[in-house]
Amino acid sequence: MRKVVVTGLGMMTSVGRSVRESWEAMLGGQSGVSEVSAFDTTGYDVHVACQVHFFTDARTRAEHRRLESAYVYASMAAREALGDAGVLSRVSRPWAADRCGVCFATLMGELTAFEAALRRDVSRKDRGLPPEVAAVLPIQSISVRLARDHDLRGPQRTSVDACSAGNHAIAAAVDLIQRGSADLVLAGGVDTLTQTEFTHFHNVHALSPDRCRPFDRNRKGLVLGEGAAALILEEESGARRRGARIYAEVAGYGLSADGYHMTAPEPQGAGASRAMRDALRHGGVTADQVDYISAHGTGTSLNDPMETKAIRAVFGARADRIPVSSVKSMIGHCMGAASVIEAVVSCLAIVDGRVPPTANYEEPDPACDLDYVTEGARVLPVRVVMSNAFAFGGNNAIVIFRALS
Amino acid sequence: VSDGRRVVVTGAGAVSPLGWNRHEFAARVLLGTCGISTIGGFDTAPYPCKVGAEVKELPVERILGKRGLRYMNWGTRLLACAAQLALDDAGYGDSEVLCAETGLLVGSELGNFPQTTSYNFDIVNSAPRDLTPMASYDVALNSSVNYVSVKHRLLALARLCSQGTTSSTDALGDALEMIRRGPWPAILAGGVEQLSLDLFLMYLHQGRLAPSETPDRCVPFGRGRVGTILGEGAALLLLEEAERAIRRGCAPLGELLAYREIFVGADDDTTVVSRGATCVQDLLDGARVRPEEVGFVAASACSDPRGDWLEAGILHAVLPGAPVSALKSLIGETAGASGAFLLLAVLASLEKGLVFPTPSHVDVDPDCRVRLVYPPGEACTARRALITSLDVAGHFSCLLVGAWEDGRDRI
Repeated sequence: MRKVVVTGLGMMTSVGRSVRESWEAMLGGQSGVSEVSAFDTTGYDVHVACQVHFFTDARTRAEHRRLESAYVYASMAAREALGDAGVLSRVSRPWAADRCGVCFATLMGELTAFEAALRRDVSRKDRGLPPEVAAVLPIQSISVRLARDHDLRGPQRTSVDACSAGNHAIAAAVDLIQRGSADLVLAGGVDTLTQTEFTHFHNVHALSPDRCRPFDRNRKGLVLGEGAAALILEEESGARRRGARIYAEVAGYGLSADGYHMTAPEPQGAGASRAMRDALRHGGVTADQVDYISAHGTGTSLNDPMETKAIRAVFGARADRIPVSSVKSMIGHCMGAASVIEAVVSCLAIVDGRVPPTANYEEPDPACDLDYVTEGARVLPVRVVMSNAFAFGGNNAIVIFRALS
Repeated sequence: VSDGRRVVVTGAGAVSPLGWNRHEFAARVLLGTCGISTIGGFDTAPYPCKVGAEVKELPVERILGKRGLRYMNWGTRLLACAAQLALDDAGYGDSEVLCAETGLLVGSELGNFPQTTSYNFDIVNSAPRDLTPMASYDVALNSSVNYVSVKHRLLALARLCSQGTTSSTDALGDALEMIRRGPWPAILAGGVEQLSLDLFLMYLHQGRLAPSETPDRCVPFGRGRVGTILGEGAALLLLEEAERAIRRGCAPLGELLAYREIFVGADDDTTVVSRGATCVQDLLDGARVRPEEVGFVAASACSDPRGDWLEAGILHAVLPGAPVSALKSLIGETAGASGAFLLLAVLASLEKGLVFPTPSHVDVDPDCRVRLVYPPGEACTARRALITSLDVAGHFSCLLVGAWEDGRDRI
């Protein structure tokens, strides 16, 4: 079977506009939480989110907000990842363009464009989509534009699997390379802060009013975030031939569905643990070999104990000795981008020998009794990382990253 | 291709403008019945296009039972009904074991976007706190997929992919490859699309919709074509590893042999045709099927001036003179579900030995060098057929389908 390796990283979050900035901020436990400025939160009980504030020029930012902010974010992450892999320029690539694909994840695509149009003109209710919004639809438009921008003319997938969409996109990219349909895939995820999602999570009482405290006894819910991330995935021998820097191997992935409830996870973590076991099996990795778990860790009452139980079910007594942390404690839940951001974190943990903390952790919860890296970033040798993603509907996707010797 | 497991279709559910089970769909497709009529789902008075192919009189309660219908939106109803019909057709009965081993892989161009925009209207026009949690039950674009996964306890995977009008062809192709390479033994795959005002306006504003008050303006490969007419529906097919299907006593409806895809979005016309033709040739070579073994082509042509011409060019380059039929003349552009409907039409044609027809009012554009099959269809003894899907954004996918031949050597 063809091995798939990561040769480039891109990331922009509420705490940094690049991989380096975001990573250092995460290691420092920096919070991206701020007052929501994307829309008016009057009438809500919650007023915070982890927004991206880098577009300081007001007009530019307004334009991005109105039309295609998701594409702008995705494009930034994609360019960084392609540049990092040394393949931003077409002439630097040893493959034909049709051997290079795109797999991108999003929960809402360019929904902010529609929201902005509606806020400008409420009477649109009876007239539906305005032409300028139709121009940035359908959902695949982000992947299509990235493919055109960078001459990536191989297979293309847009994954819309909610909060696990990012890991689905990575899994789809791995499949394309392993089955020989592509040699390089730009795999990424993006989402912007939308009032629609904010209202939804607000009204199901899943939003924290202040900060995200995964696995803490007093956790009050998630904080919504926004951002984008991208990986350059390549077939290993090709990457070695061109002398690429290899961050890690994507050893395997596991997918499952709870089949339990439209919004709540199966509380014992049966579906999540099945996906974890499948990922280990697919990757040829034993439970003893996992050094770090990048948790889904949303800070909600339902997710965190479920994830803890699933980890215990898979790793047994060894679960006590595996560091587990959630970067959502700092950058919020970035939806379709979340698990790709966490994939970048997983690769950096392997090459950097440091894992980010779970910020805001203060009081242990008896239902969440693992090692959550609460003291700050931890230095430790990391060879194998499990990156977890779970979504509404019990949609589970796990990816395993492994250091390549 | 040569090392993988064989993948067969063992059940299908179709909720379409031509009826709400695969048998009705097949019978009407083979007769060349057109499902396009005046749109009743929303007010078309302000718009130049008045017609579409809607799913009508769907007996949701009879198929799904009464429970849970209150909050189930139209797109979810379409997909859930197709899933129930497909699992019943495949003989799954109430087997939790079979369902637990089975995944769900669906393609859609807009997914639940209409429910999302509807919720957004409510947010702008109400105090946020006044909206009940159930009001956003289905705002995620993949909510329909989640619903079906939960209802039937399909535990192996649940995925929604969106590549425009090739979405369900790609979902079927991915499912084929996932089963072939393992470990998935079975995946319920296909597509769903609702004929919503959002989809309608997206096509209208992008200049893809034909101004029309009559059904006969959807003329794939035809002279004077100016745009498409939209349709809706859901089609799901149970793809299964052949040995598993045989073990449980199933008679397969057909076999998926090979799948290929490329992105041609940034290319000029000549290059699109050339690269599309190479893609089809690679598909045939990989499956070790000669062009003359392909009995007919089910094309995705939708009456789009450029897209139809490009697709015709691709087919002429690889399969000159092959019989071609265009399903969208009968059920409109079903967008993310269209590839799955093409597969249903192909399976019906292979089973009956009759290529489904394109309506006689389609007068072929001389620039589109295809040999269209007209009513009453065309007898076909070949055991292979090709499905092609071309999206306006530039994704091109193709799927090779075979009649089930038990005992045939592994390809």
